[in-house]
Amino acid sequence: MADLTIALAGNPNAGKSTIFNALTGLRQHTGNWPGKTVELKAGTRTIDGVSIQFVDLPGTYSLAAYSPDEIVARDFIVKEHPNAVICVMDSTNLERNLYLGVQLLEMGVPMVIALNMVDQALARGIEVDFGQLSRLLGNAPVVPTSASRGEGIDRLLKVTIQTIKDVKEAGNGPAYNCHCEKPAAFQVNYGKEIEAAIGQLSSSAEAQQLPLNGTCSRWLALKLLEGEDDVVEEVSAMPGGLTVIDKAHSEIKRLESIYGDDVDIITADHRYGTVSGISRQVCRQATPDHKTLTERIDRLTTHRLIGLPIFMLIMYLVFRIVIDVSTPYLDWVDSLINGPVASGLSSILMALGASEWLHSLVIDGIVAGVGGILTFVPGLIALFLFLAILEDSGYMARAAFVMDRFMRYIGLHGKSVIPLMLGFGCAVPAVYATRTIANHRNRLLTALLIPFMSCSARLPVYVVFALAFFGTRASTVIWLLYVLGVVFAILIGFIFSRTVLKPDENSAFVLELPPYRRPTMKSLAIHTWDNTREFIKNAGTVILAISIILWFLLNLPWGVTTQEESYFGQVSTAITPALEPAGFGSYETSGALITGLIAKELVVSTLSQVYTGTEVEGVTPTTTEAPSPSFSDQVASIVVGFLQATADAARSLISLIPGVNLLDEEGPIEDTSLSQALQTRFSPLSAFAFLIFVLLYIPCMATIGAIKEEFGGRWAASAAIYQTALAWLAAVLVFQGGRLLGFG
Amino acid sequence: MLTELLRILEQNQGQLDLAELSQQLNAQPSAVAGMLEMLIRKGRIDDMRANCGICQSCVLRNECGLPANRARRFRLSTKVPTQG
Repeated sequence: MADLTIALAGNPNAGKSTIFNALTGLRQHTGNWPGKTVELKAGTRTIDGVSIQFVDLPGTYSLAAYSPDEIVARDFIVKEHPNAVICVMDSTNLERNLYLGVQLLEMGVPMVIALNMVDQALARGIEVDFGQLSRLLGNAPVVPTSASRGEGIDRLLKVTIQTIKDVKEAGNGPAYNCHCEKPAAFQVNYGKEIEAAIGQLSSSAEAQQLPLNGTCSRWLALKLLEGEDDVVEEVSAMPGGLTVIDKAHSEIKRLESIYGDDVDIITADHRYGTVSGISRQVCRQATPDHKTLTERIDRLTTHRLIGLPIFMLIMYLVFRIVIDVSTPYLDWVDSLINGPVASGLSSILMALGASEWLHSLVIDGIVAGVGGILTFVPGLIALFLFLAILEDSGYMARAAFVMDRFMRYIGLHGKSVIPLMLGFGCAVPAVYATRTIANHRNRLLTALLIPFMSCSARLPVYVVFALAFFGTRASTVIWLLYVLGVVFAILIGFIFSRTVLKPDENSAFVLELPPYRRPTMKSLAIHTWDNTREFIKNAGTVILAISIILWFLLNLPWGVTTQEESYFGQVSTAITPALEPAGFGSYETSGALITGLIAKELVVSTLSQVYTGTEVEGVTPTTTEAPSPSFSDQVASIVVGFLQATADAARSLISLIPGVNLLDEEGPIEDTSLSQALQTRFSPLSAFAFLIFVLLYIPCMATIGAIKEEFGGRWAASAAIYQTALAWLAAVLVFQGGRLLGFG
Repeated sequence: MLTELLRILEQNQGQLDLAELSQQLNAQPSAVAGMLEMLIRKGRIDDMRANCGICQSCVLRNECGLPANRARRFRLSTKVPTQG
């Protein structure tokens, strides 16, 4: 049994355990507080023949008894009556730490404040007046420490032991029921009404002679007024306790009718006001402009004027890197699929004696269709990687903050930004993410605007057309499409918010921006792979299935001599006249857009099948055996191709630096087989009009299904119709307007 | 301070980040965060991040840093005390 018991209390991460370890060394043991799973660490030390037990209480922000940690910390002090409590406070967050400190002082227990991390506070330009702090806290001793450096610990121990001695000596003088009754002791002033109620309850407790066992009556009265269940339960069990409880209930009713709010909110209000006042008096920012790195960066990234341009610049750079650096790999994958893969499969099929139609199905259908999409995996990997970097670093939260200002013009708030930004990945989870928005009108409007965010499935369409027609400016064109999507979303939102979806309620909210942090390789790899895997999985399932179906549609009825006469051609031809004003009225593009209803990636897959299905690089689709490169030659070409692509990608990356250009004049862009085919069917103007149409027209069936599930068939149908109409109108305006201006 | 915080939320038509709110209250951001936590416990403010079920169904939820890095959003609850 130790001679003295000293408890250590404090906020999490204030350095309490570090101080505890410094005080006790290896002489520690751990035990559970009765009835709780919370562990308490205790350690002993003998100083000048006096054995002292130190108890490390759980880190808590308050003693409000909401959590087991808070209950254990509070109960230890109330029931075990430690000789003193060392309250460890983080100097860099003094105001928040003081909240616990004043609650401990209210318990009437002798307290010493270890003002920890003073070195870090000084590094941030924060100076604390220790003497003034002590005076304002009822002369509770304040000892500056830097536990991580081992500074101030000895003095802290000395001061704590001296405080205990002072209390013992004071016990020989005027009788105080608790520390807070001493003259000049610290007390929070709760205002006339609550102070009167505290007085009433204290008197009632004394009158009933409640067995307080050293518990401060003022503290007890406060807890009863705040309605703390376990305190009420304990007092109820005491002889005379029910009388005090009844008194407490009537005081609570009276106070709530006066303040119009719960008593514990009012008392917390006063405490926060007190600690705020103390903090302002004792803390001085030596260098007013001294801010954390996060704050310094946020001054720019969340600036009212330049925040949005910064966001747009960052997204532009992301797209430049994604497109320019991944394009060499895109070419490599394309040559790999249409070269060794196609020729290898063809050789296998011929060796197995496969029929011509099966050969065509595999090569012209599956390889062209699925392969056409897999070509874009390098670009998507790069996109997902950079989006993961922006998310993990904490920047996306700033982007959401910046976009919120524009959300307000259409009656939405920042809480809509996250579902909208999820739409850049895939619209389906983005629609479901609107469930976080409580207001139905805001939810619906957000969901209707999500399809305007260019999802990752649209990226292959953008890439293939942009590279085919805009060369080195491909990344700029793609970035522009993403921006246009957002602009259209704001425009449509503006129209809706003034017509069919007028705002009905405005709720304010607070946005807490997380500190910037360095993304970890593991996290980036996980997120990038997770998203890429979904894409590849989709390619192996939905796109594979549709490619097979599409091949049959392109070749049925059996014996058709042209694609236009096939079932695919017949259906596509029916809607072609509607697309002629937009500049891309052909059965191939019509059919591709129809398949895009299932999944947007299928637009590229279909075009690849339709335009290049019979033109496989290095493959002659005849029954006679054609000479093919040896296995070793093929492996060598794959490896050389990859190395070349890597070198080109590195040159592209370095060439992004202003003033540096390592690219040859033609640039590293080689046309894929699909690009070459498209160049003979489109002009740059009609290609851009096509891209606008793809950006805006009806979202995929999965998204329509999600909207139907969440908001009903009427809104899903409306979304399908108005978006397609808008897409057609925009594409026609672009094409016809461009022709008038001489671009056609 | 708490009642002032609630008043600011009620009156403000748009969003406030923690820095702006702490500036208006003339309090340290960490202290304001503590006030918000208390108000969440009392049901006076909703923590929108807690209401989002997207991450709960994700197999990567224990390894992913996204929930911590997403901006926390708080919404004033519909229960508004009447002033006596």
